[in-house]
Amino acid sequence: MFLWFHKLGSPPHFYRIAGKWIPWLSWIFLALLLAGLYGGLILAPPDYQQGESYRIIFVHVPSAWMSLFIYVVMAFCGIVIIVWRMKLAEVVLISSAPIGASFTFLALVTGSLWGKPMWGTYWVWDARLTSELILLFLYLGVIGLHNAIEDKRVAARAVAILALVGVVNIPIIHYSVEWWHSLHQGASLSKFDKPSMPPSMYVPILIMALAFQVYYVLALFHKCRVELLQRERNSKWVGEL
Amino acid sequence: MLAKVCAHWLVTGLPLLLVAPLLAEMLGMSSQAQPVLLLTILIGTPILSLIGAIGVALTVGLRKGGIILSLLVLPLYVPVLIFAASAIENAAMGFDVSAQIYMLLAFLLLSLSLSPWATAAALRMSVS
Repeated sequence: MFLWFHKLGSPPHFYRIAGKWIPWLSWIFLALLLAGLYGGLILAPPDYQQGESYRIIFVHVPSAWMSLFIYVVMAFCGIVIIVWRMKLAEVVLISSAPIGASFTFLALVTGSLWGKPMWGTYWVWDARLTSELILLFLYLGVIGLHNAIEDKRVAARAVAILALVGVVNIPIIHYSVEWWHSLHQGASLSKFDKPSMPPSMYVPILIMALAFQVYYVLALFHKCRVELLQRERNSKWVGEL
Repeated sequence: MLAKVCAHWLVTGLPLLLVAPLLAEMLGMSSQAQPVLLLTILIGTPILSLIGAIGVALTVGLRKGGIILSLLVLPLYVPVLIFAASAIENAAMGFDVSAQIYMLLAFLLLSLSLSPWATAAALRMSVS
């Protein structure tokens, strides 16, 4: 197990493995995306209160989940960087930041597009919305700090510390709808309760979430390969490619 | 590390604490909210200094550190502001504020125990 982990951590090995996985992941992503969109936009019935416009949740909810998930991945990479100084973790952390920022942005935009017909406003300074916006700034801070430091190994350590400090925000975002009586509704899906919507609605959400998850890994592999080539451009294995 | 943060708090947090009752009176804040205002400032400003220390330590070696510093630190300040503001809002309406105060105290203890460690790690990285 540890040997496998160690081997995966070596840049040339990861480069090869990721390259092999990319075509498979692309097809899986495409299939899941089409299935999720078909189930969400065509099969699922309209909501009895919100009509057709609730359908944006099939993009909004998965991307909001991803925005939190990717940050947790980054914080985990931060621990690995600080404790084991693993090069691959640095690459994963840095490559995750723009993807996470995009998902956060997507969640904010789709949320505000949904908010206009439902709440009558694009934006309220509400706990959930504000903390999601903070998450976007955290991602931008990670990207900015990484760009500002010349030496990329030093930059990775700085970013790791920042990612770990910022992880305090994740539970705040997650529980904001329960701690404050916010305009944003509570969670409709949870592991322990029966979901408060019929399967024809929550199954497409789960499929879309899976599709976004696969997309994240796919985009991460692409970005990591480029980042690895850039960092290791003077090494022997890159010369052999 | 803690001594430096303390010194910073003495020149930034403490004056704010002293001037706050005057400002609250001038802005017409209700008298029942004023003790809560002072309490939240007393608990909150050390947290801000402690978080700021991490941000400064991360950016100390950079030439254009200023903008990045605010980008790093301001998002981390917001939870403190949310809880403090909600405590004062509740106090002004005559509700219980202990939940928010406990949350702020938890933040204070967390940042007091973890921030010097993170600041030290960041400084070690910045000067090496």
